[in-house]
Amino acid sequence: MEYDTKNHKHAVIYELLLKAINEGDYLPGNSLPSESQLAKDYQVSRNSVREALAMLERDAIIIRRQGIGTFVAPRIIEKGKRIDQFQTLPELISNLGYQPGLGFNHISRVKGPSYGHQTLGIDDGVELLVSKRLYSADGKPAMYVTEYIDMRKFDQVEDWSQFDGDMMAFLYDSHGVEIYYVFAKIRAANGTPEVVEAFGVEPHFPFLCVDHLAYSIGGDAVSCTQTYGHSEIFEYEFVRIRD
Amino acid sequence: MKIESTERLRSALHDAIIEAINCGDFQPGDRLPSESELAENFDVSRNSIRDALASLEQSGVVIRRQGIGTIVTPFSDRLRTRIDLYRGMADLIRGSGYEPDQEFDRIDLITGPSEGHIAFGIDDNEHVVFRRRIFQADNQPAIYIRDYFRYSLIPNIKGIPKISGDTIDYIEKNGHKRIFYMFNEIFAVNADHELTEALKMINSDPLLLLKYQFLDESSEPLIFADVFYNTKIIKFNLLRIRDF
Repeated sequence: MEYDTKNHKHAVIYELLLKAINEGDYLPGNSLPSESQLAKDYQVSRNSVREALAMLERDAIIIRRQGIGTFVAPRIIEKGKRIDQFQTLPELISNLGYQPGLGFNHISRVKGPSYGHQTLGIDDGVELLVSKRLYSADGKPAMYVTEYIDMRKFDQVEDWSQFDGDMMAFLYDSHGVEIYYVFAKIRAANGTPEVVEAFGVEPHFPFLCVDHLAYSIGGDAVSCTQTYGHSEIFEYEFVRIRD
Repeated sequence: MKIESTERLRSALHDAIIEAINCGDFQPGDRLPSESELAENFDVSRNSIRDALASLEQSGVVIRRQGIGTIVTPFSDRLRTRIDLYRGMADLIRGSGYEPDQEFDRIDLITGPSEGHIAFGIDDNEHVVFRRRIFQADNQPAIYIRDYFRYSLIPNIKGIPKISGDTIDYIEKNGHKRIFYMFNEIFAVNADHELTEALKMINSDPLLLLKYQFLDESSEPLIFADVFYNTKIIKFNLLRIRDF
């Protein structure tokens, strides 16, 4: 399924407003014109303006406060540092300004009990696919991922020869399984022995871990990950308005 | 007042939809009826429905996508520990499944060099208020906070300020400034000696560090805070929704 957003008016308004903000027509911390004024300026419906503003708000570019107005965010955070951003690991690494790479992808299958069985709520007797991957940033180890995937819903044997590190694209292209949203847990942890070895760091090295539980549109848990991110490469930022 | 009644309607709709989800009318993964159907059901305008859905999306209860509709997420029960939305340490600890308590609160007036002086970019001889606190979860230390603000921000206070409750509230009351937004950075760090003692950890265990800046509407920083979380106790969650 492809959703063509390019021709939607609100997507055009989004781009135009973003351009105006980037070019300094609207300055950080300053308010934007009202919805009706913007609708007039851009000669579109108020609904299109509203949709565009919702997208800008979701991307933390503007901030809306009920009864007060709409402001340009005081700080616009680059995409790679946005903690709420849904991005694949190669995208994330490249958004942080590094050249992404995939060091290895070890595939195995496990029966429970495992972190994957427990997190996905699957019977220990069911075999899960496990992918252990090491991503690099400019050639240096950046993130270690252990991913558990419930393959029962998939209709064919997987072919990893084309795998480039983008698991979402892989699941979709080879199995038609589409992930729509992810529940993430954030923690700081030491690496397991295999993680420490893969990174070549001291056992006490702190990792920034963002563990995912990924859902399809129907609310089925498709896969879960445990990740270990190099704390000198991955840091996140967010802006919040006081209620 | 119009704004107030609009706000009240929005929050009433917000609660009504959450209620419908909680009592099982809608399951995670279900699509909600269209905006126009909802508007008819609740006998309100489509714009009111749209505002209510926007606020539900903001809090992670539903996601809305062009061409797909509005879908209920399985997370309505886990929102209290969302890293981008949680309200205060006590709430975060409760949301992680523990009873919160504060075991330590110390306030000092310091001169530089300090992290605070560096963060504000001020002279070492200027006085900075330095507040350290430890929050417990079921009697185990879980969160360590270091707050810094400039003493000159509270010109009418003599001696070491006495603060109970949030530093933000104190500043707003005594500093006549409004905190408008906060900017956060998130890191993984090793516990230093002081943190290891304070949080009763094994030497150099990893901690999640959130560096907070509280700023007023002209983007002037009023408070810098370093908050260290033991993530073996504190659960931080996040929702990531795919864009199309």
